[in-house]
Amino acid sequence: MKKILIVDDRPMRQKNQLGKDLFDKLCSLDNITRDFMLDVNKITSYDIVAIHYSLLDNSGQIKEIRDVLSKRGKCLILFSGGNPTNRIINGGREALVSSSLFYSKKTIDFFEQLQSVEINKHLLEKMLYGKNWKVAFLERYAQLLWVNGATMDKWPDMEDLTDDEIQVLNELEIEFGHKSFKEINEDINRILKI
Amino acid sequence: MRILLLHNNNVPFSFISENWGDDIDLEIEIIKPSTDDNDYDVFVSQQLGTIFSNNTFDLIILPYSFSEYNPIEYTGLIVAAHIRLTPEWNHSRKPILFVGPEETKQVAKLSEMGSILFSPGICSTRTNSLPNLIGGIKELSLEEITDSEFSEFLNRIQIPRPSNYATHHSIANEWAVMRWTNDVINWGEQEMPIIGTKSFTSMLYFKYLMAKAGSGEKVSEKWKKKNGADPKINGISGKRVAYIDDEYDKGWGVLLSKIFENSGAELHIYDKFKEYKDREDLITSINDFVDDIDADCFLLDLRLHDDDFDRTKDEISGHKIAAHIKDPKINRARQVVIFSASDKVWNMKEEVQKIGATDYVLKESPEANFSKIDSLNGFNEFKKAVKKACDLSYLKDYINFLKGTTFEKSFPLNNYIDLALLNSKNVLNSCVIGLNVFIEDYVEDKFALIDSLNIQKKDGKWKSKIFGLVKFKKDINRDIKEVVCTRTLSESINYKKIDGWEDAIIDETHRSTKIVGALFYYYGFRNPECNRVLEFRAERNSVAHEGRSTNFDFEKLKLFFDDIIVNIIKKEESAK
Repeated sequence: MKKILIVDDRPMRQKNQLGKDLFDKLCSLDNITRDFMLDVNKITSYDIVAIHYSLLDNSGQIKEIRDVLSKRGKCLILFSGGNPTNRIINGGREALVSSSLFYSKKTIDFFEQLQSVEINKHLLEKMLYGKNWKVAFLERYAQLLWVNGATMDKWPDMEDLTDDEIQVLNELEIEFGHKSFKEINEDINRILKI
Repeated sequence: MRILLLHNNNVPFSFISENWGDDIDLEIEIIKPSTDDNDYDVFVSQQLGTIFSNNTFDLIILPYSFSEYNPIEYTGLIVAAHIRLTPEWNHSRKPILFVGPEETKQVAKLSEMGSILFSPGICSTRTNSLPNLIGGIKELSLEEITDSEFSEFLNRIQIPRPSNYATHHSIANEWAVMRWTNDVINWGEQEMPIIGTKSFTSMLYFKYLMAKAGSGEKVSEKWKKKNGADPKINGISGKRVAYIDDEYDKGWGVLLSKIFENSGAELHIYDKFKEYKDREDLITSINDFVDDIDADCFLLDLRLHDDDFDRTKDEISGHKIAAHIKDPKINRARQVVIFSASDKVWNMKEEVQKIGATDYVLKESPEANFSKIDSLNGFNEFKKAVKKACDLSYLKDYINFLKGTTFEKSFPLNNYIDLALLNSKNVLNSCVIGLNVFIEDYVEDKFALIDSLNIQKKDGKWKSKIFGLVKFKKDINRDIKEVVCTRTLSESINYKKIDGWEDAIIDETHRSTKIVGALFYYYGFRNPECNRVLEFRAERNSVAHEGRSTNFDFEKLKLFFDDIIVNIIKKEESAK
């Protein structure tokens, strides 16, 4: 079971944005702890720490939180109402998301899933993209090939790739199999039902 | 041909390292936010603002995403939308080419902004070969899109509204303060206040609203100089205004401080919203602020807490605070001006009545209004509303003054205050009658004429001779027109006698005699004040008996209250 800490300094925001039913569901989840204040000493006991951005921004603790969680391989979610652009940064360990996405059925359902299903990889992609999460990695796979000059059927010359690129490509190959640019594209279309 | 290539090391290396040919002038820029760039719109606006400054490109090339890690966050679409929707950069009609391994239909399926890919002037290629790319570019039409194509783009794209701006309310809050500060007020020689709207004006959704509204209503400096409003509210000097709005820190506090400073008034801003997370605690804190400040005008927003957004209008915090401000047990004459963002669901006139507010001012929204004249009128309405509240605040002072005195529950005085609060010409007759009733009844109740010579306080502690010392001059109808009290002017008695003056005792009802005798000899008023009372009596008789509308206005009633009634009460209270 993955444990999640949600820190939001405005207590009513959760209820207002989720609505009563979803809020009740959030409150009923055993793996969720809700708090209105941030205690840095406690965050490492959670797998995912979600904090309202302005709370961290005001307290100037962003860097400290990032460092603490990053060292332990934990995920950080910073949610904010002001920015509609959902992004994953810091190598997949941190997500910047809108409050409306964070306080949504999709996210609550995902947290519920984390109660019973052991999910250890790609937590943030799964939270953000649900059943389409694989597309994020397949597109990355495709991009690595494309950037380095692959054709539809043929991988690029590995000598042209940097060490970092080779490492990422290896990881993707292990997880999704050795695929050509064309095959990746077909997989994506299959997932997206195109 | 000048081409701008934007990337984050996620395009083929050849694109950024090789020569594109002599006929292509290529500028390459990296778009890479730092981890501290939480607001992507602000980041993009700053970056591209610099890139486009004094630069003109014929074509802009960019990938679908600028993320090094996550290609499906599609920040490239956001950047393209910013280019289209930021006219200040002068590239909103330029062709844009997306490059990447993605199929456009994949992007469209995953991004709510994907429709931009199918709008005019946008094309895409999956080639990772530089010669193929250059060949394709040479076949492209590099014409700018037309006005109708731009309209088509606007109709086609969907720009998500940030959840902070999930309501009309929040957009209006930032738009209106910017509109008033930058466009509506003519600051003249004064420095325009800095209201910090960068994050708002950088917001893609805001740019989208601006583009949808068109450029017809943009305000020029010339227009502002000619038509702009004075940043000052005349006639409120020395007044105290309290401002209660959880959006005060979005520029309103700065703007209003400047306006009230110019007007010679004090502005007190409630600024503890962040200290009180709980709605009830917040309401209590604001109510304490209200009671401490004794303001002439409370500028009050209605939605002051997150929790208000899922409540019925009667339950929202603004209503509760308004009810406290107008609480009859404290002071029902305190003046509230509702200053809130518009909400089409609510009938504001109904709200004003329900709350007992003096007036309301709506913060305009770009979604509802773009006319500069409407904006100007909105600001002038604001000034009028504040002035009206400050003008009426004397009634609040009357209630404070009466509080704790034996007159606190006086029906005629309270009735007068309630009528005056209506601030309507229709109640002026009643006000004139009411103030007369107070004096007549009070004097009748407390004083007696005895043995045709003296006036006596009924409690027996004071008596004064008035026979021969109070004289009236009457008109042909024998209505009293003038009074003279001669205690200190005995030498003029003869003169006045022969000139039509009569002894007060001749007054048929004795009431005028009693009133004037009391006013002059007990309360210490001089002849002009006594004559004013008689003037009021005459006016009361005229409006009550002849049914005409009084010529008196609220200002005259106020002066009467201040000069006569206040002094009667003071004398009575000091004698207690």
